[in-house]
Amino acid sequence: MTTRKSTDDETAARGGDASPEAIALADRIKAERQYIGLSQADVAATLGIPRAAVSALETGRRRVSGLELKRLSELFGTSVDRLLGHSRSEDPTTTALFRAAKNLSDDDKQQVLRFAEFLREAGQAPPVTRVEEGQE
Amino acid sequence: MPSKAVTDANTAAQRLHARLHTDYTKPIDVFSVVQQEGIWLVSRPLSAGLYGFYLREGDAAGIVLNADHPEYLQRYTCAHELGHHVLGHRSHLDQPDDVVGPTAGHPVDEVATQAFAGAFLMPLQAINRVLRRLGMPKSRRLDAPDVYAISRELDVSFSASAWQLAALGRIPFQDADRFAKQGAKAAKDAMRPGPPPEGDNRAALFIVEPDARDVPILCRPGDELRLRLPENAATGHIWRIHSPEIPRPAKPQLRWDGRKDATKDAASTPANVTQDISGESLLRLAENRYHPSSLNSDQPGENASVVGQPGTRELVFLVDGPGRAEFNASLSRPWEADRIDTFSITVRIGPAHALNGFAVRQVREHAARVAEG
Repeated sequence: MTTRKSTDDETAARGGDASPEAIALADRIKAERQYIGLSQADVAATLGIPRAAVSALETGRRRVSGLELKRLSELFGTSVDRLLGHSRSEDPTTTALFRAAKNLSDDDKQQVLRFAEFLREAGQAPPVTRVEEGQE
Repeated sequence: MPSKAVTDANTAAQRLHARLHTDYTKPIDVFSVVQQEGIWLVSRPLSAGLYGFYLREGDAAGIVLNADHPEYLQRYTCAHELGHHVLGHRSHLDQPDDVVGPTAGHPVDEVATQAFAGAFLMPLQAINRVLRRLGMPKSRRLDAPDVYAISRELDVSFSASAWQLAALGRIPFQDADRFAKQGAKAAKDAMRPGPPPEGDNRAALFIVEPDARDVPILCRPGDELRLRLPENAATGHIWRIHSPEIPRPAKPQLRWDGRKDATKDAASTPANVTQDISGESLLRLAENRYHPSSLNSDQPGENASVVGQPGTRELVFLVDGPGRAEFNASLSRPWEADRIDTFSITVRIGPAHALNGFAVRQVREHAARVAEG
């Protein structure tokens, strides 16, 4: 898994004409890729584009097409709306869960909300046969 | 008398094992089972107040575990969350009391789920196998080190195994209560003649004696392996290690030559050494001691030493890995070619197994599904 922090070079490499919105979108794509634990190469293979193009997507140097945005949201188990920056909100189920729990941290709540979204968007887990030790 | 909810939870765990044709010779691989059942499996950084949670959204179900927890606790929480799924419960956030707390006064769902977790990770078939493998007959009253060894073989926490052994009628409930209060560290300390070697105090401790030479050993990186071989200092027969290759100690007196009288001083001072070994082997010798008395007697103590009485050579290894390591030694007099005994074991060292992030195979399958459109 690639977990490189963005460096000054990368920041400098961000397109001079990239709008703040484009950079925010690029950051969300990177954060969501890291959430699901995929590498840039994995994302590239899924979208059918070169790895360097994914790197460019995550620094705002390359525009994201509508189709790519849809694919990315499917891959990350989120929605196009969320990738575009619309915030996630509680629903009756999570509100009830939070009410029943004691002293839940805000980070914990975010983890619950994000995973609930993942389940809604990604659907049922793919079938996996018996997993040998060390392959998780 | 267990409640109906508990009986039903036990039955559900047994049914699931029957359907999965579970292999009881190894710890139950609950991470694999969850994935086979089509449940998403993930670990995320959660606060200390949240062990894990189970969510259901339409057809999709998923389990999130605390990424900061050690493997055995993740396994136990995972079995608990699997219980919510199998028992048809709704989404649930599990805080410490839900997973490992006392069940008195808890909602019936949590009591049933705890029963499921115990029965799933420690089914009777698996416990009986472990008892046989460890040579613990039914008549034996299990003490804390016994329960520790069982918990290690099942890869569950010490207190969880104590409670499950009590639930199965194998130990009295008051013993389980006492063991759980004293904790695994006390049990491990009772198994060692001295302080633990440096390392992770959550690492597992294995004691291997000659009668266990055919018992396969499966450990994890960081574990502590103590080999105890009978040695009679007075006869001059000493154990020599052929593998792993041990570099020659810096000080000649560190390897006891067997010629000195087996007095308390001779045996306890020079042989109590810690060697800094940097070999290729995955077994790293941390200590090499001669104990003039048996380490198994009910009253171990240096004072039990009698000249001519058999003692014990104790070799303490720290395990690196993953991989496979061989230990070979022979018992002979240094000045004679004849070997009067040999001892060999193979140690399999599994990978560190705690879950970190999304279960890899699930995400790969998911990505492939998205790529296909």
